[in-house]
Amino acid sequence: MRILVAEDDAVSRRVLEAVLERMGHECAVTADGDEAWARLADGAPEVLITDWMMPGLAGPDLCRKVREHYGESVYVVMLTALSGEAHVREAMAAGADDFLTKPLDRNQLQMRLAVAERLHALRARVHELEAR
Amino acid sequence: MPATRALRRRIAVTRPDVVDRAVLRTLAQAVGDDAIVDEICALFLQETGPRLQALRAAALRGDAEALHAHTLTLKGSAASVGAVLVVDAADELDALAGSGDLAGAQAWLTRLAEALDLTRAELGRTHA
Repeated sequence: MRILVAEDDAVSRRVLEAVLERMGHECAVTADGDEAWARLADGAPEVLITDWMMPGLAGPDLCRKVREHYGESVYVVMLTALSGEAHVREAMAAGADDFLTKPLDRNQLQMRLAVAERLHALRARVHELEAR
Repeated sequence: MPATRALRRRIAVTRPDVVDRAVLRTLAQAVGDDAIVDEICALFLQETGPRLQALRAAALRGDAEALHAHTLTLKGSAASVGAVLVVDAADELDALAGSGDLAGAQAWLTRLAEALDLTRAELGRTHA
């Protein structure tokens, strides 16, 4: 899948990029929400993995903009060191599909991406049927 | 992919109270290339100086929100390379930031700086 990462911390960004590429995904990385938003104009990815706290456009704000402009076509995973139900609820209210806490757990990430892949395939099938 | 000799040496020499060896092993498996683990460790060490400066500046200003934001980022990156001593010290600073009372921040910043020095020694010597 094509995955866009928005993460201001250079270490977490490189870890994500390396793990995603190892999983066989096509990964583009950006250093903040504004850069990610600009990159989206080049073509929406199947998945957006965004950090919560970033300079400029924060994760929830980026997520809201993605929903407003791209609808449900992008599977959004909010990644953060913050924990607690309130944060999960806030992420979901912003339109996130899923939530991952740092440090990154490769298995948890893989499970989220499996769901994203299945949803993407289902949407593609629906579009195909509608086009007939 | 099995750990190479260089990675085995890294894991063998790191002090577990400073760097969690299991995290380095897991990272190596997840990225599948020891050179990338080296790159990530070097990146972490490179980022710690500016991060510590930002934390000190936030404490001096009495800016609990900035202190919280910087400790969260530091905890995230430190956890990625298994820098457990740094995570512990950052946790204490974060608790202070959460309470809004930064009176004890300088003491914890000193401890964090020491933790970073120890981590640099543990991770850095395996880069030679």
